[in-house]
Amino acid sequence: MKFDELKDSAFDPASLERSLAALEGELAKPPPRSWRADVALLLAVSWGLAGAMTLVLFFTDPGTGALALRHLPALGLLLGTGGLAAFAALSPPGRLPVAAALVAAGLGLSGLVFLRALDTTAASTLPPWVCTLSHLGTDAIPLVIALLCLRRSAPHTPRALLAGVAAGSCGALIGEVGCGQSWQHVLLFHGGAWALIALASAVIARRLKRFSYAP
Amino acid sequence: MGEASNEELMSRFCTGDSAAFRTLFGRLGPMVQRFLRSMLREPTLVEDVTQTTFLSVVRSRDRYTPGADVARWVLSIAANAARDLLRHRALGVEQLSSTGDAVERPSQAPLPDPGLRRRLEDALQALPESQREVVVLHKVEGLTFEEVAGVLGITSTAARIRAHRGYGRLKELLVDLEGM
Repeated sequence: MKFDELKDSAFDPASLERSLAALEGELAKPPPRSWRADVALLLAVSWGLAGAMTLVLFFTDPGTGALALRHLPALGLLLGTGGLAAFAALSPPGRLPVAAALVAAGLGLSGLVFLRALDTTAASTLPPWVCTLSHLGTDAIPLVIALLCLRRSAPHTPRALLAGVAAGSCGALIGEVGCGQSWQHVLLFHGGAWALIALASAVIARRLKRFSYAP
Repeated sequence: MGEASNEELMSRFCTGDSAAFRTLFGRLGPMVQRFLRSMLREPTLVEDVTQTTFLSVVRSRDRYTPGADVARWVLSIAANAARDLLRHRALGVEQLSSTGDAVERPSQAPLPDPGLRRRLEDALQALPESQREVVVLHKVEGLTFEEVAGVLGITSTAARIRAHRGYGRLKELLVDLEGM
């Protein structure tokens, strides 16, 4: 086809000059925060909040220490899943395949349920949805951080899902030190909240005004 | 001494050399503008998105992988920005002022536009955005399907399928043109 007509079409030098002039202000600014700092920030907020809530639980519930020790493998699994998800969500393409990270997130949730099936401690006197509510409540701050970090690259739904997984690891960690109920409870009331956070991240991220469109 | 490559200029920019960015802008600006003109057509939008594209280059220079093809990286930013703009326009959230009225854009004299080019541009605009970006990158920018796939973050098979459909539709639209 005669696409050379488009190839040879005159560009608009005046428009380019205006664009370059408008960029001068941005060039004068110091370099923005790196994506590595974003990964560290998201994990620091997510895990820091989980750590703070764990401390509160230690002082308010004497059984927390023993429960946390029993759930150490699950806590390790959650740290690994959250770290991997944050890295895959916020790093530039080519460093860690997003599909692999999504599979790892699915395996992380499955592992959590499996580990609980091996070691259910006690039924709770609280209604089961309390876990879901506290999960969603504590994940709100990491979710905001995840969304702010996602603004710094082009819209990409799988990455936004992974950022939500990383944010949701906060509530999941707290769930492991504060709840000893059955695997069905973990799957429905913990896993459901985690999935909701990931979904919310994907839905909200698509509508955000971007700071950058870099892949 | 030969001219610095785009990749060398980008590396220098990443270490704080703003002059290297200006040289890169001079080299890649026309390519980005041409691509966006085929994608968006409207001159004011093309200017806005060109600026957004290079603003993203400045803001996200840490996301550039040293040694990677800079032109492809910048084109992928332009494609992302154009796609997002078109999506927001489709949702009706773009170009609205705080009062909800359509923003008056300053009118610009259209570029010289011979009949054939206008026909081609009209036909391109009639394509779905996903097919248009592949056709423009492949046919106008001369990228291979593997390169197109890299720019758009899709597989080369998907790029070929989109191009095949796009060319089919263009043939229908431009059936009366010679040399198809």
